[in-house]
Amino acid sequence: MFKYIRQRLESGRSASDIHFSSFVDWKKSNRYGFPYNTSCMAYDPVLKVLALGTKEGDIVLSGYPGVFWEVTVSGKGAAKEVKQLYFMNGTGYFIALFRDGGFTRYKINGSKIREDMSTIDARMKSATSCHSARRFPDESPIIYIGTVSGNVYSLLPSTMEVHEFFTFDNVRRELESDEEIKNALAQFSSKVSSLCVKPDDPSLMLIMLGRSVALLMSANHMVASIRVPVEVNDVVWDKKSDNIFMAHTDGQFTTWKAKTFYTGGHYFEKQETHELFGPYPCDEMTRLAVLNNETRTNNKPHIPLVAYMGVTVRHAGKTLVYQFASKVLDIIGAECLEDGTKLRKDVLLVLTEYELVAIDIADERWRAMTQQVFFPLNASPITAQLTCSSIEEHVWRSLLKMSEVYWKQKDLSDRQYPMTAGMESKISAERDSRGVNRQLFITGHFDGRVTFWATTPYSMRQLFILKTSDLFKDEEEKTVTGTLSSKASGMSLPVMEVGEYDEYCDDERLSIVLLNFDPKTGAFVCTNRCGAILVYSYYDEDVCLKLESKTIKWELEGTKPNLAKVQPLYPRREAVYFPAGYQPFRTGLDAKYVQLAPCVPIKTLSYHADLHMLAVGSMFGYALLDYRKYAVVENVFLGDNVPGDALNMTLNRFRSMKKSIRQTFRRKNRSSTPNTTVDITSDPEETFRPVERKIEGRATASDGPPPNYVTCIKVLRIPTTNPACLDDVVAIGTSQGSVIIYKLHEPKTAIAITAYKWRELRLSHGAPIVEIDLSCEAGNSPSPQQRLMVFTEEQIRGFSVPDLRSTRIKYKITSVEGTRIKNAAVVKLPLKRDPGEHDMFACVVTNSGTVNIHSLSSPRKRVEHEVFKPSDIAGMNSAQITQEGELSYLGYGGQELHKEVISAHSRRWLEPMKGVVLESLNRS
Amino acid sequence: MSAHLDGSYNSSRDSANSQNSTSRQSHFNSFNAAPLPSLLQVKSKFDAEWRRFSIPTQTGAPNYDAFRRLVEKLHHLSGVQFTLCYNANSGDLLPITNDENLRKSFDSARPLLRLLIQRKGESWEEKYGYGTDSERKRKGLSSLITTQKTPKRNYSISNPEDFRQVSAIIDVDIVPEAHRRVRLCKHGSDRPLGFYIRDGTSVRVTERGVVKVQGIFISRLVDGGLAESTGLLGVNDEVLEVNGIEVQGKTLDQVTDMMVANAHNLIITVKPANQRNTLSRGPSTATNAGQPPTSRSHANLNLGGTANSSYDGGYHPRAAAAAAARGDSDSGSDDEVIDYHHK
Repeated sequence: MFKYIRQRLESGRSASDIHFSSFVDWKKSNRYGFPYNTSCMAYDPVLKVLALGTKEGDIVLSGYPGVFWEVTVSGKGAAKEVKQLYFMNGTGYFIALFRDGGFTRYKINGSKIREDMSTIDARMKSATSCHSARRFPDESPIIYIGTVSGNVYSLLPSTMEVHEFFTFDNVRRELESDEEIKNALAQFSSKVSSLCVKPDDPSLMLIMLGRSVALLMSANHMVASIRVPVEVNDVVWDKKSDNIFMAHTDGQFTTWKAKTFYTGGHYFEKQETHELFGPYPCDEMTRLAVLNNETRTNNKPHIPLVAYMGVTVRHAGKTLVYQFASKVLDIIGAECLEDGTKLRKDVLLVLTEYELVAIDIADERWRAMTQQVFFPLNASPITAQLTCSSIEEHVWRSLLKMSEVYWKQKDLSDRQYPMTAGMESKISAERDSRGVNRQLFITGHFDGRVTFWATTPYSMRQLFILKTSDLFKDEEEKTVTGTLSSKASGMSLPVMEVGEYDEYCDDERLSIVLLNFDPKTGAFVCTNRCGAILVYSYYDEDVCLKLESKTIKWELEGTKPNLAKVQPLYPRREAVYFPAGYQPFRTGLDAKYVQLAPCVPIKTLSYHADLHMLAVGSMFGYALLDYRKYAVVENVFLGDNVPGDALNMTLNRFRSMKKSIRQTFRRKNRSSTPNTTVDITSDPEETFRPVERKIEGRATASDGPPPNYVTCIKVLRIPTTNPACLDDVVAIGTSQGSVIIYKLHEPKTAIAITAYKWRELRLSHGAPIVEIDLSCEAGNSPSPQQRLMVFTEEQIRGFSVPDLRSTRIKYKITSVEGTRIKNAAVVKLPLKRDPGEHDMFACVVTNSGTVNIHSLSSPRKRVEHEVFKPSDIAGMNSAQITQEGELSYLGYGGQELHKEVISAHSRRWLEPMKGVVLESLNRS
Repeated sequence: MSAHLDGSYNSSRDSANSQNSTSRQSHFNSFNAAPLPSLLQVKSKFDAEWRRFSIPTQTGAPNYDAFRRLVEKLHHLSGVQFTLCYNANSGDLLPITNDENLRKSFDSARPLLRLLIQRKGESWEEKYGYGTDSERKRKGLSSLITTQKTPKRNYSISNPEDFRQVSAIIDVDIVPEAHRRVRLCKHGSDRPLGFYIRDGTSVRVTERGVVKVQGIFISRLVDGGLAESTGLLGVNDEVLEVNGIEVQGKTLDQVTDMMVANAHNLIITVKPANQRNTLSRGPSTATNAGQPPTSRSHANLNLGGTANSSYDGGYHPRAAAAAAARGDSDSGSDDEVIDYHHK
């Protein structure tokens, strides 16, 4: 009796008084990947921290992988675009210059960044160049800002005061006495294009006016001026050699010296002209940096130079050109001291639009370094993504092993990145081997590659890349990163392609559509756009395999001309070598993959790794397949009432974009010709009609019955006959609101699995099924409270098992709120104060951009959290919720991975250790 | 009163359901099949009042008019318009309107003929057709037994003088005078709802004075659509609520989705652009004339109150929203489970 009462009381608690606050606590946790729209970078050689500023107004700081700070600039629009960043080396302060002329000083304060002080000066709006330098060796640096008017201002970081440092008008007369300089100023304007300070004597400053006139300043007096014959993009005053390097628009660079007469006057002297690319002018040289690679015998500086789309490193007659697939924005020579010898071994950091590449100058072959932070997530556009948590330890170990092999064969320098802030505390944190640290994020890309990322709560690291394109015939060999190859196009310089980013791909059929990963066995399935399904499994030995295809065919009524256009990819005739690691699943030496006919992309798939049962659903039907025997167990055609245009659209998205661009240009050309006739035939009411929506029941939709296709497939374990024993079932959800459940039977003999249709649930409202799951954790013993949760676009429903009766778990989200479910998951959230206790919740992503958490015992009770903008469809579609209550989604069109923590309890361990104590900062 | 037991008396509803299909099929050809008992027992119910009486049948079935007068006298219903229904064997509630269906009703007297007397205009059946709610009422034990779903009826049973309701103005007593709450009953018909909505601005009087707010308006009506034919909705009417839920703050797409999701029983509260018809005149002729509006709106409220309590309807700020809840809950149990295993 007591037990009964206690049970009643407990169930009463969960049903009526749910305090979401004791389970749910939203927190934005981390962002991974290369920041979107990065505009500038800065490096602090004392703290060893790199900062990136973006046009979106974000500043991201990174130390050792996983040590991470982030701040979003207050303000809005283009005004908060970060233009420049400066570190007050070693103090933990840094200053950001924004587009609107504002300066803000920030301070690294533990795990957070504090906005310290800001100033806004209208004169700074027209800033054209900046330089930070110390006036006296032990003073904090001053930022000099050159403006379009030719004036230079100085900003004192300690007080954030702006002073006039140099006024162009004061020297205008003096300058214009020289006819040559006068002409140059008239031609190129007097804006300060670049400036630099002599490193060991900060009283000397070089100012370039209008890219053509160089002024030498000594304590804000002009002491020398010269007209430089070729326009100058960048000037650098090297400390070691005391040379001034000038980068010119014709692709050359020159070295100069500022010399002093014995009388005290100053003058310029040109030392050398370096022509990099032959006798003819070529790409502009936009940036220039000097690096040091000190050895016992040789310590001449390397000079890397940036030209558009490439970086060149030159040292002692040896030149190497690096090629990037995206535009190079900036380069930094990061000062690095070797640990034991204290020799300078600088690292060249190259910031491009889509990635950050570090080049090891101390390496014999000047190789790029193994990427450690700011991985380019969308190295090729992301077309599919998957988050897996709680991966079994043995699976995780084999993944790490594969990663090791992968990076070894990449031929990269394995030197540590110069950003090492917080390294000590991080390494100890990484040893933590809890399940939560074994999270996998898998991305499928447009060019057919599948990238595996290890996302511990602290950091994201690229494990390895699987190239599915290797298996197919018409694949083009691409230059592997890091190999030296001479370009045949007349350029005699050695060229090295670096960086992962490559947005181009010839064959859209290769692009990955769906991914599936089994955290218990590590079995991995991916499918591409032309309907090929590849199942990978981990193998310890290298192998040479010849792949064959196994076709699942749906007979269509009539012909679809659009379908005929898509040809399948054919496997290679010769055997393909696979190193130990992920290899196509095989029985014996018989490796096959599944090809759908017609070649349509798969809508959904599920893989039962124990039974090797693959269930796939496309827009025409579904099929169950025993992958061990390559036997089709069940193949059901649902109908081909898919409008042909829709199909065409999905397959030729990129082509159609090209077409629309072409049309835009045509329209533009047409409109430029004067056209006075007005088209009066069109109905004015038709053109001025406001945006309106037709209200029509689903059954009476004008274009016939809605298409019937598979939207969701799930392998589950539920009791089907005996409530005490669980059976393997496959639940198939369709677009017309039915759930078809198949029961699986594994025979003891060697014949294939059998499956028979067990039940079909037809929901009366007929909205597409989004997700099917169980309300309780999958366990070995069934629970009487077990419900089959069916999420349709419009409703959340719970059904009893095994008789599939409607229960009171029911919420009609569209009827009540007007939003539709895009994505759903059942999550288990522990109680904040007592992690031993937990409750199950339904977490849904709606099309209005909110993520709602519904109590499973009474779904009417819910909390709502706004995550996405309603227009961010890509973000919503990519949203995934792990069972532990962590939401991950792709931000900024797939360039970044964002994570948010839902669970109040798990916040503690899912939150990244953003602010590890910086010992160097504390010392100073 | 003597009990005449012929055949087995089925007290539980599940066995009645199991006979569903057979009794349906014999609906027309079994007119003279069962011999009548000499004295037919009747149990009639009007509101909360019950009467038990018997009618002699030796001289053949009584005629409809006499039967109706008898009921009227017993329940003191003079001056009240009422409808007569009986519980059929199939579990349906069917009307008694003439001699023939009166005679037919005697088949269901096993041993009692259960009569239900309702005020005209109050019953569910008048709106949606008779015999449509047997599925709705299958609760309790009977719903545990998974039977083959009976085929949907493609004819509708109704009182001959009635028309099936396609729309109604409801809740007149609680909706502000300048507003109008309209129910569009799409039940069974494949006629499209036939209207479009758009974004717009409307003017609201608030504490801070008159402010402009975003609103949803009806932009046009499709010729021949349900909305146009009722005459209750007009172009530029502002939509305030959909099935009891305010649309304030919702986007056009959200309101569209709400309306589509509730399309089977859509209740829209509008502020008509043409206010001339709202204040002076009561319900339009499309609804049942002859009843004072207050009593009918009461009826709607009662129905809402007694409807299956909903667990899913979310939040219902007003009693009026109960109508929405009812609309929700009746459709929920229409889900079908097809059991291939038992086949």
